[in-house]
Amino acid sequence: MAMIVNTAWLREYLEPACTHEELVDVLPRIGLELERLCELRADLSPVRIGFIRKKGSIPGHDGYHLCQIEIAKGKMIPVVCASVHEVKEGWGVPVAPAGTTLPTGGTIRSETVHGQKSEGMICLDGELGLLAKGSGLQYTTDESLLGKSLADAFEVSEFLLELNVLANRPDFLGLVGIAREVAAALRLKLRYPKTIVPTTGTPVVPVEIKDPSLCSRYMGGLVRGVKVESSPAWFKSRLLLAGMRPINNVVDITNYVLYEYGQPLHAFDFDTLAEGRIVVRRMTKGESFELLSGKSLSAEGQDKEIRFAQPPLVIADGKKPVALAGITGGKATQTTATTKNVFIEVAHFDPVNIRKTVKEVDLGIDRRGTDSSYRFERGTDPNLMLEGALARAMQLVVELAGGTATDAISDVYPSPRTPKVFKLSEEKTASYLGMPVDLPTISDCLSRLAMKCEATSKTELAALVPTWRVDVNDPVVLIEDVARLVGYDKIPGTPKPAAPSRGVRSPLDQLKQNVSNHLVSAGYFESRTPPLEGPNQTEWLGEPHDEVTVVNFATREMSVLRRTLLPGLAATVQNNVRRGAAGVQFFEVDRAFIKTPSSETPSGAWRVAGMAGGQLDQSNWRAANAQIDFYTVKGTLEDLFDRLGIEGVSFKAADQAPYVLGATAEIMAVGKKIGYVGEVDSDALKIERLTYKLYGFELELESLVELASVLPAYHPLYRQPAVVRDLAIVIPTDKVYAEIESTIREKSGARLESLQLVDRYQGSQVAAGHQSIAFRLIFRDPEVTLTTDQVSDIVGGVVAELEKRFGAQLRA
Amino acid sequence: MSRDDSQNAGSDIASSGATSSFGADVAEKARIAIELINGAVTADELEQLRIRFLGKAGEISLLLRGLGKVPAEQRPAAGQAVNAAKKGVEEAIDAKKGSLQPTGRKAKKSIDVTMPGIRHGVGRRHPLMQTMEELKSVLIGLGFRYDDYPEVETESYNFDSLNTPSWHPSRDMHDSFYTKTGHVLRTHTSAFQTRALKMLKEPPIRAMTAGRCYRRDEIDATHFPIFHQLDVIAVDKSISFSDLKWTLESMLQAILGKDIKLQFRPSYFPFTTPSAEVDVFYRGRWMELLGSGMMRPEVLRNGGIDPDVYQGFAFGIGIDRLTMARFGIDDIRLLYANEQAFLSQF
Repeated sequence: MAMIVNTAWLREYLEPACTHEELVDVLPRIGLELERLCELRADLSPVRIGFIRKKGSIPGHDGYHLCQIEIAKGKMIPVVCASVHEVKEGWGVPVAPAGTTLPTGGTIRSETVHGQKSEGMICLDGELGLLAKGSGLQYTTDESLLGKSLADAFEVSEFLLELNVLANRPDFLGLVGIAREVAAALRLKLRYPKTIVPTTGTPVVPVEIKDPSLCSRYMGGLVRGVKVESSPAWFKSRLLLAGMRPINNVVDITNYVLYEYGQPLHAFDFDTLAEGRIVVRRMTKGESFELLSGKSLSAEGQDKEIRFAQPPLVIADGKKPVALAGITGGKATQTTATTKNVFIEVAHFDPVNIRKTVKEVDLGIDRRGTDSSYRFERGTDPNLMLEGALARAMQLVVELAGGTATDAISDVYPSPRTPKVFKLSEEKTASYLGMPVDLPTISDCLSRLAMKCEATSKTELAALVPTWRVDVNDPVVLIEDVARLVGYDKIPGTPKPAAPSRGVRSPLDQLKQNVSNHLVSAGYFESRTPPLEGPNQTEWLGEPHDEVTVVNFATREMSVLRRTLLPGLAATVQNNVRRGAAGVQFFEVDRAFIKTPSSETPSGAWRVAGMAGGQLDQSNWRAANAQIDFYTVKGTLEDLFDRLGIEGVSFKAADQAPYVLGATAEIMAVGKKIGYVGEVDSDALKIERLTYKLYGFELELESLVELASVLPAYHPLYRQPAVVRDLAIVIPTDKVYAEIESTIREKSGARLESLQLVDRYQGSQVAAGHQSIAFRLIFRDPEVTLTTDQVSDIVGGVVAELEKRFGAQLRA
Repeated sequence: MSRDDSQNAGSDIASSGATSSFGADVAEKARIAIELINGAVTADELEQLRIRFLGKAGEISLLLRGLGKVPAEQRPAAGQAVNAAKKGVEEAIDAKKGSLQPTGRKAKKSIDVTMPGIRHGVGRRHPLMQTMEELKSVLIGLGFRYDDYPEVETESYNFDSLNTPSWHPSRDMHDSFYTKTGHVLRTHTSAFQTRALKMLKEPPIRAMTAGRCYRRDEIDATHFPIFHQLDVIAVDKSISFSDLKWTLESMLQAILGKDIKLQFRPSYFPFTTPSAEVDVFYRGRWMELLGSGMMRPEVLRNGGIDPDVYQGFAFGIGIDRLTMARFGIDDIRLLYANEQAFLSQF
């Protein structure tokens, strides 16, 4: 959560005061990250207070007013403004004359709107950067401000810092909490705000807590005879600069003190509380009341849709609920201009219950929770900060709204929360930080953070941790506190001798890198595409696609984890085709999410997929027009298997979408299907404007890990000479190559060392329905030198067999 | 000087053979000849130059013959100048011959070696993966093992075991993707921490993983709902914040260069204390780079490691942001559009 900090205000709590530079330097070092720094005076000085002297309508444009605004004594300018924000004649408003650049960055120009000249703009708070939220308009009727710059009118002299408060430190959600830590870091003193000393004794307002597990403490103080009115200008200005909207002096004070102490408060009009007492309880059946926003709430639920599991915790008077505990007040009991007596509440609520209620209840506001509930959810201090907030609020009410605060306050605290004690040793601190730290240093740091330290031995102390530090639940947090105050930059970056460990890649990761590097060498670019896709993106796979479905997807197009990598590659190809790529070669290595037994965490299966088409080897000037086809892609995979040392891979015609039937092969390794390669159907993959054929492949990587890690076994190099024979045959085209090859191998026997296809020809030179194919056969016998006759015999046998099985003839 | 220029210069000098500055012109011609000879890269080219200057109709040979036209009183000096030039050029050719053909071999072929080679063309690893692999390699050298861990995680591993409080915003449906089966798409690679501890069991443990993470972000120039992280843990008896600093410095210097500066700022992560946000000063500006800290006792315990005996550090780094900073990429969407014109730059 962001805290907007007015540095002038913050420095009031520090003694002696530190410089602006010291402050800005120290905040990030103690864990308060500076998101934004704005020098308001400079930013706001071009904006002037102008008075609306005349307000008229623009015929035909109901949504707009034309105002004549006096921006300096006797100087009028016309300004067209939207009528959604009400303005009245006689109001003094912030005006940015044409030519002004606003703190938010926009420049105001002289222009004609709906036929009317407009030479400026009336600024909403948000446009001035005054408010982090909201977009209202502030006005004044004080004519002495006419023509003054906003910075002078609001007495703005300071810097606003937007600090990012870490979620575990709700004590930083109040200026006092921030000041405490700054004081600790800079060795200054924390100066608490001015408070009254509350009267104790029998309380005037009886308080009863029905369920102490939900509300551990409730305190309240009565101030009689107040005058509820607008807060003084300096007070309003402070709230505005901190991002809060002024309402009336009493409400403003509760907001002001919330901002100081981080402790939420609520002010009731005491005379509206039945029986003049408070009961903290859950709502009971049949009850309902109206929240401050106007939204109504009943014990059973809200509107028609929202039904509560349990009635929410409320603050009630003698008869009825008057506030939603810790979250927001009720309309009937709020302070109004006629309020005479004010009852101020401070309490400590159970964070879990507050969170639950905030989730359930529609508060009728545009965000989740309130400034109060946010702080209660993170945890507030039921002791010093709670007590201080009440005493401070009462002091301010007396000071700003008059009245007396002499009645005995109410305080119900069934089981007081006591500070926790944590032990911390020199040895552990030093070992964690990796530098020597002695006990006096530890004690000094923790004491500065208001922890009482007591040595329990020469090398260990016990620290009493204040209850506002809700984050401290282990001694390691105290080590962090020591490190923060010593300074993270003081910890050296030196390695200590340590037991070595083996830095290795998993075999799968090694395989992923080898595969990727091979494909890169083969001309492929690696693609990274989103693994989330639409539910219908792969409908060509047939089966339902709901293996890993996201329930709270942002767009349906990204709602299911993909089960094949091909669509992502298709999108990549499409992007490149659109840019006019004459050839594409892309691959991706990623997980695909396929069916797993429902009890298991879907783990996904690692795959590599590729897609290629168009011009092959574009930088080969000898074959500049060669096109990628099935055999070039298949060849890349065969090279890959060769490089990985995987033997026995076979390809078999298959029928598998989205590959084109008749140009698809299933890839088998050691009897297991490991993937497909084939021409892809660009219609199924919805690729447009493609002028060439596209080929794809997808392999299961996990099945290859074991095959790829088989260590090759050396066999002796054969020294007997080899005999090379070329064999060309004419054979009907319907015979499958793999069968021809295996027939040759089978008939040749062990002495065939290698077989290579060297040519294939279909055309006028051979009979119709036939093709000529040529092999280079290399024969060798490890023991003896083969004779020509021996080889001729083998080849003769091969030819006879080919003739018998396939009707093949030796090519003349 | 280009060849054309020198030829023009040469012809100028040839035609000015009979002027009174004959000596200076001869010297200039010799200077040009020697410069060309010294620049020759093939024996062929050198032979062409020899013919051009010293051949029968060579430029310097012509000058020698043209001495007759020089006025008699200047003739001895001019003769000397031309002979000196000739000698200089001969010496330059001899010297160059030695360096071009140390063995004195005769060329057997004459191909144009400047023609492009027959290339198949190479692709590229994706810049994200290049960065990831470089980080992994550095860490492997430092003794960290690499394994992949699930991307579809249980709430237990992604949140609970990492000490994430029930109110933490990352648990919110607004921030994280939940599946029909009640799993969460891992919101950070830190989800691997207790899995790794359970798998590896015995310290010293140095482990890492990297890969995709998911968050419900709107897509813009700096946000993408899917991004890449690398997460690292080290657990042993005396692993300290100081070791963390050293490891990060070593790793980042290897990736970003020796000139970087690091700044450790207190921060909050549920699974580390002390926690530190690390900023790096790189190419003239500070940027938030990664989160780190000492592993929480709860996390060690959830991983089956006794926090009274062992302690450890952990850090996680966003690969997308680091890749963009390294290469000066200004829009994260470019990383996922996979245009060849983009990919081929890395």
